[in-house]
Amino acid sequence: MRNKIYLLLGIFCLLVSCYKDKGSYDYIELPEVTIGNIKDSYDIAQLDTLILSPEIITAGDQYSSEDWSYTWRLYPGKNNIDTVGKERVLSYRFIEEPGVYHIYFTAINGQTDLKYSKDIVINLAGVYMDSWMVLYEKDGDCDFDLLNDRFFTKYDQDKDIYFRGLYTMTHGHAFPGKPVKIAPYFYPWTQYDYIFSEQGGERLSVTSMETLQDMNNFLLGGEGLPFEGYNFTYQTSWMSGIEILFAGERIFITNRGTSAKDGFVEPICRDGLTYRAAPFAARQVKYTLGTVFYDEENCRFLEIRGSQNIFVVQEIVDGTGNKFSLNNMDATMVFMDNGFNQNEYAVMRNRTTGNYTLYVLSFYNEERYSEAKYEMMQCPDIENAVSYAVGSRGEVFYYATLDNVYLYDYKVNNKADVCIHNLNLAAEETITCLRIFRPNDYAWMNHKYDNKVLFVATYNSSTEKGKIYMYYIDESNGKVDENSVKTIEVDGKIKDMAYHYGVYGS
Amino acid sequence: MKRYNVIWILTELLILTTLLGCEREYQLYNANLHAVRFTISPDSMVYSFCFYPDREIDTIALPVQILGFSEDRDRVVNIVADVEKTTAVACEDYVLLPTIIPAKQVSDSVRVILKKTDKLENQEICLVLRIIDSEDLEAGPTNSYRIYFSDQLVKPMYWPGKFGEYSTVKHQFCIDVLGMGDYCSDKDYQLVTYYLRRLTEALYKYNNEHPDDPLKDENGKLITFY
Repeated sequence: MRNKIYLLLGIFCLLVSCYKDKGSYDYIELPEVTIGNIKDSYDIAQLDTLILSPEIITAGDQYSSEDWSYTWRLYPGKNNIDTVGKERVLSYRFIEEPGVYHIYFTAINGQTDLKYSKDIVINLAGVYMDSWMVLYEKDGDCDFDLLNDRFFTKYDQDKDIYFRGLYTMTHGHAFPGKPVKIAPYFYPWTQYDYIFSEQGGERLSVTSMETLQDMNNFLLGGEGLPFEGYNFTYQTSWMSGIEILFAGERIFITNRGTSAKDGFVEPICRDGLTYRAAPFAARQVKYTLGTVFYDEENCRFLEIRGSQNIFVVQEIVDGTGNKFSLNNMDATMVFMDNGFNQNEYAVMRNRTTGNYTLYVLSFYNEERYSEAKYEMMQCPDIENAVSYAVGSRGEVFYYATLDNVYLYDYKVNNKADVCIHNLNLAAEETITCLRIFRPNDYAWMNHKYDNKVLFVATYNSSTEKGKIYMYYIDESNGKVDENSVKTIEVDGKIKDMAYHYGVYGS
Repeated sequence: MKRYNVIWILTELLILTTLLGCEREYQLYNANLHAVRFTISPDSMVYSFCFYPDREIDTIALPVQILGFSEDRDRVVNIVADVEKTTAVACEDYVLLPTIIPAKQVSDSVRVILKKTDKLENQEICLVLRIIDSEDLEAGPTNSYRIYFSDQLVKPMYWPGKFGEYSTVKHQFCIDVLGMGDYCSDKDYQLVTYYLRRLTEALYKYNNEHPDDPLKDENGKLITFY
């Protein structure tokens, strides 16, 4: 019996191989279909409406618009994958939490039942998305605006979005005291905005603009911070995120990346080393350094070493390759900021001659800190400069007096010229601040307008209003596109401007 | 053939029984568990009134946490001194404050007031605390904690490596400058930097004022910091 069953099974298996494949090999060539007029990713803000209008492009004319149906699906949605549209044009208002989303667009052909899809990444920012902060004085106190203008925005938006008087809007009152500085702090997992006035400072939440910490509590050990001559900057790398604060000619530092504590400390000074710090710090330094600053007391640069996360102030040893000594400058620091090739650009006024010199310093370079120096003899009105701006994508250096903006061609002609000729200031209107748009400095961003916008802020003392003139510039040489000018009114005297980094959820 | 059928049925039953055993039974949390334990590590501390020269008494807070669910009422934690192991005298050397776990909370602290007495200048005394069952909470694991206290200069629990080699002279100098004698872990970089800045400046000043007699430790070694 068992043998018969095995025999039957064997015959069945053999018969299976006789089955004839009747598949059709008469293939029909289908026209190529592509989805156009749509990008791979979009940056938008929470509560904004995303409008997408893709085009179905076919090689021939076999298909009419009636042949197509569409679906738009959002992931992750409320129900994991939500259908958010059935028409070709999507109009969807994002009420989701800030974060990264995907929208899957599918076009289905009714004739062939074939589906054509595209995955679109949506970077949804919070309400206070990446924008431009403008700090100004109003009735003796200060406030700031958050401007997101299509002139420089990274978002796909159909209108300019301005949040006016944001400190008052959030706190119910202006920030007391005349303005000094507004600055972001960007370290990948830690972000703040800082506001400083002549009466104090605060660390603000970048998402709500509420106060996180008062300047009175900034220092470890409960020491009070002198509210004078201060400035704030920061430098970040993958290893650390160092905040640098100047007050009362002292330097304070905090290492966000490695410290569990939340306060600033003054670095260790060994062997009786003393200093009077100019309120500027190097922002691009080699990994062994915390930063470098200028000591007005002894006319020298000092470095802060961050060995094993303990910060120590040290004198700089002039290397053999140095083009000038950093220990005997005989000068007062007027300005310093990071610029092209990761160099620091310092304007110094000689204490003996009164002449101005632009020093180029490379604190990335272990062998030689001093890169070059340029006597600013042919820089008109440099002694009356009120603001400076350095580009980081070309050898670009501007300075502004009360009524003119100059581009300093230090490299080729060593000469500065007025670079904006259509800045027709009113009789009582003067320049107060000059900044280059530089969001890509440390944030590992790829902002398309990085180094391409120049902001000139003015103040009209008769109307008591401020104004921002925005120009596109050539990031490689600083040439100003004067025809591009666009202006924004501000409700006070502008003191400072800086980039605000938005937060993209968790 | 019948024999085969019986074997087959038995085999199926065996497989079915085995598969039934795979059904996962989740162990329910023991809702009747109401215990409390110390959450501080290590299980002892050294305290010296030398660490805080301006203090005659000091309150030590030792965190405790419950095992079980929080409740809508305050619950008493019963703490006693282990008389067999304790050399400190109640009321004279220490006062044990009542401890409760507040309603809807899962943790609080046991508070002990330590008193600075003359005998502490010459000896170290020990207080061993023990959690015992109360009407509300029974003693959980890690229910004992020791406090050794004196008024003598002893190496504190935290002596940052960047302070360098420990010596009593150096420690006293730190107390004089910082006003405290117990510090922080090496990982608290900001705080270590803050301490070292003040100590370095003070040492430089001291040595400048005593050019012929710079600060040395009890072994005659020149005192330095990081």
